[in-house]
Amino acid sequence: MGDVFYRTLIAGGSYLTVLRGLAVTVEMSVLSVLVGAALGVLVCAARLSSNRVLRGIAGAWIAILRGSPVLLLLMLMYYVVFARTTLPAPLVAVAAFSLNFSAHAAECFRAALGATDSGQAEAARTLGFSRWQAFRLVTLPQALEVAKPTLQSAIVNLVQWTSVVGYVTITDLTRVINNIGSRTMEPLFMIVVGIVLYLGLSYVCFGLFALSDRLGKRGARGRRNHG
Amino acid sequence: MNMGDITRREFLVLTAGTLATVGLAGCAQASSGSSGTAATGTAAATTAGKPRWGVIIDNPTTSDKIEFVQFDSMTTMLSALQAGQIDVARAPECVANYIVQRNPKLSISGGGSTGKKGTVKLSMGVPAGSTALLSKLNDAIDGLQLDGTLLALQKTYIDDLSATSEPQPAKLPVVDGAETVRVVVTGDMPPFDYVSAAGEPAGFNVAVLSAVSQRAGVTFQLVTASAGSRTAMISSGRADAVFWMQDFMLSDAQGAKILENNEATEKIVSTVPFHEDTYLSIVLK
Repeated sequence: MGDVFYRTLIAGGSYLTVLRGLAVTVEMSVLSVLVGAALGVLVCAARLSSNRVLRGIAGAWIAILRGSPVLLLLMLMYYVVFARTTLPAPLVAVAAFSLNFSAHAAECFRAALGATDSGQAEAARTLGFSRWQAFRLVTLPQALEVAKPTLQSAIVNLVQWTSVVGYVTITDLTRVINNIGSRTMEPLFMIVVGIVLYLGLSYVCFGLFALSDRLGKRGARGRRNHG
Repeated sequence: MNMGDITRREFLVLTAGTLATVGLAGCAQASSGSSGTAATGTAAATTAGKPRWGVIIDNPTTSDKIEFVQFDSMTTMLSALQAGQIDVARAPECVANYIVQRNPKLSISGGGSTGKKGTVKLSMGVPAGSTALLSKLNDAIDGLQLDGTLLALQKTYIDDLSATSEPQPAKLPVVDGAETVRVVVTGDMPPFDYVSAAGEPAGFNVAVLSAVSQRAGVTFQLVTASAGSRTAMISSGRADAVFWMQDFMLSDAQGAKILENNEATEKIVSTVPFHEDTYLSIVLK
């Protein structure tokens, strides 16, 4: 076992290659979550708008992107849509994952807004809050709390989905794991190593959300004490 | 709703899941080790009647004697062999030797020359329209064959390859004023094509490319991608050449033909082969 560990992960500075792959996976995931969430807000706003055309477009956007496999979307963008351009592969990958994530995030936000009590916003309006103030101070904080768990699992899903980027020439964590498995002929051991590393990423994601919960509670207490 | 609780519960579930996964993997390894003796020599007799052969070939034709199981990479095929999902993994001799030297649980069925069952040629594939590139590559490969360069490279990068210290990957020269040809490597067919510990494409194929580059006056640029995306790379214009195998012929122990195949299509044509190999069967010890 120690010998396998040495041959696969230590010899020749292999662990540095693994870390580089991990960095690629983290980088792509973080960028896709940020861009995708921002897009998701816009799509959610369009989905809830009173304009029928906007609503229709947002509905189609969500249906198409949530209903199509990310790998095929990625291959379509890399090998067809952007085939004759010089856009680097990681950029195309971030675009594809952002599109996919935006659809999931939009539905997440919409469900969360739907779960908040609309009577509270109306009450705020009667107290003289503007529409924007009522949304920002009353509806939004509650909706974010509701959205967190589903958003969290969407993010963990996205991280796992990035493992297919080997199809578009990117060497991410999964590719590095497979490369080492092939070279050392220890594929089963490397699969377990890969699972442990991806689980680690999930833990980090859960940890960040738990931290935001704690900070949020402390902030709320602080506001109560001083307000 | 208390988010802290949910998160903690998910932590517990995750931890239990990790332990179970690692435990299962351990069991799979242990059982493949212990049932190894039973699997040896059972290439001809399995539960379903037909022996199951793992092959890395697109659309293997069906056979009434063998059940072909198709894989898109050596890693998945060997995992399936160790898990007992296939009885035999078929691979070119150089690849099979590389594998059994490094994985003590595997061996070559029949052993040595008596176990040779089939032939294969390694070549490059280029788009059907690239006639100029094709003839350049063909001339260079023919030349390297005649002057013994290919044999010398085979000695360094295949025959003398040690399991503990691998040779430095061959450097690809930049030829001044020459066109740049993008070549796909997969990293999944050692010792022909693998990725070094430092993360660089390495192996016999890269060494051949280096020699071809000097002779043909072409600058090569390597692109790493999954084996399954090679055709998409070529047809989309993302790459100019790939490595692949052609003229598969798998036979049984008596030399009777079981499967013939060729990776060349109407859209992609093959160069002359730069290496010819026989096919061996890898089984669990």
